[in-house]
Amino acid sequence: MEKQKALELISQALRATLKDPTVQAKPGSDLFRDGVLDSLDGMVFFLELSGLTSKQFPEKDLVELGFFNVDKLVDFISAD
Amino acid sequence: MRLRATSFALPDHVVDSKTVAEWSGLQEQFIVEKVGIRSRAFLEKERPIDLAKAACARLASESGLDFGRIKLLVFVTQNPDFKIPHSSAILQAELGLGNDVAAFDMNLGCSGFVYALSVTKALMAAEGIPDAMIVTCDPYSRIMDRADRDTIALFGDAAAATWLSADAGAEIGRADLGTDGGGAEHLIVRAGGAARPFSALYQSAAADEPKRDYRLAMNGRGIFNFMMTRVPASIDRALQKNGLKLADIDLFAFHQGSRFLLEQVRDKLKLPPEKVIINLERCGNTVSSTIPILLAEQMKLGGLGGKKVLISGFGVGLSWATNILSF
Repeated sequence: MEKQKALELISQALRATLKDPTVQAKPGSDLFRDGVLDSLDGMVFFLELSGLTSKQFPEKDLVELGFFNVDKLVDFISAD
Repeated sequence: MRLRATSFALPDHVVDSKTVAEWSGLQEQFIVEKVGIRSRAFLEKERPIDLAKAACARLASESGLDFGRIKLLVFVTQNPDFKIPHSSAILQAELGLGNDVAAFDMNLGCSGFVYALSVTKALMAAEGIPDAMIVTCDPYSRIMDRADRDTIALFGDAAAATWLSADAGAEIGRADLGTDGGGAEHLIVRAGGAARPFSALYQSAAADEPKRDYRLAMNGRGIFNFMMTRVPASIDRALQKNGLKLADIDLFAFHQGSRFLLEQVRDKLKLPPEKVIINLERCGNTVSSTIPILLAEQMKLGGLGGKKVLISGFGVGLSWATNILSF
C-alpha cells in the first residue's frame, strides 16, 4: 500500500474514533503524546484501523512500542 | 425457576478517584469522565465473607426470605477467603443454614452471575430444589497494585445475594454461554495457583518470583477487542434462543466494565441510551456483582414489572454469558 493511502486510512480511523469529520493525521505527530488520543480512545482507534487495513497490531502496549507515532504507523501499514 | 429478589452490600471504606489518581498517576478527570467512576469501596480488615453475609442479610430483610428455605447455595468468586475450603461452605455455616444445603463455589469472574443463573436453575430443576441463593463476592482490591494504571481505577469491591425460587419472580430464559481461553492472558494473576504457588513448600526458589505476578494484570486492548466482537454475537444468539428481537428488550443490564466500554457496545449495537443502564459511578466494576447490583437497584425503583431485561457478563477467561429475564 502507498504511504499516502496509509495516512488517509489513519485519518479515517481517527475520524471514526473521535466522531470528528475534520480531524487529520499529521506526519511526524504522535497521537498519544500530542493528546489526540488517550489510552481508551486508542483501543477504538486500533480496532478501527485494523478493520480498515486488515493489519493485526501487536497485543502488547502500543504506546511503549511507538505505534501512536504516525510515521511508524504509516510504515507498518504500508509494508507488505 | 425464577429470579425472585436480589440485594447487595458495599464495604464502608470509600476511595474517591482523586485518591486513585494520586496512587496511579492517572488524571482524576479521566477516571471520572471516561472510566465513569467517582468512587469505589474497598474492603479493609473485614473478610470477604463478612461482605457476603451483609448482602445475604440485606436480601433477607428486603425480600422476606427465610434462610431456612435455601437448600442450594452457589458462591461465585475467584478470590475466596481461603484456597481451601470453598467460601460457600464457610457462608453456609455462618448464615446458620442446615446441613442439607448443597453448596459449592463457581470460579468465574465477570460472566459468573449469568453463568450461575443457568447452573443454579438447572440444578434446582434436576434435584427438585424450590429455593436457592447465588452469592457473588470477588474483592479485586485484594489483588490489585495501587500503582497499576491498567486496573486500579476500574475495580471496586461488593457482594450481592440473589434468591431463585420455583414459584415467583422473573423468568430466567435460555442462555448463550461461551469461552475463549486463548485470551486468558488478557486478565490474569499469574502466580498463586498450583502452577506457581505463592510460597512453595519444597522449592525455596519460589520466593524469588517477581511481585507483579502476584497481582492482577490486564491487557485493556485485548479485553476491549474481545468485548467488541464476542458480546454483540452472544446477544444475537441469546435473542435467537429466546425467540426475541433486539427491539423486544426493554433494558440492557451489561456487566459494568467501564463507562467507556459500555458506551462503545451501546453505540455498536445502536441501542438507545435510555435502555442501557450505567451505574458504576459510585461502586466501580465489581466483577460478578455488577449485574445483580443493577438488577437490585432497578427492582427497588419498581420499574421492572412486565419488562424484558437482557443481561450479559463478559471478562476473565475469557468468558461470556448472556440471558434474558422476563419480569
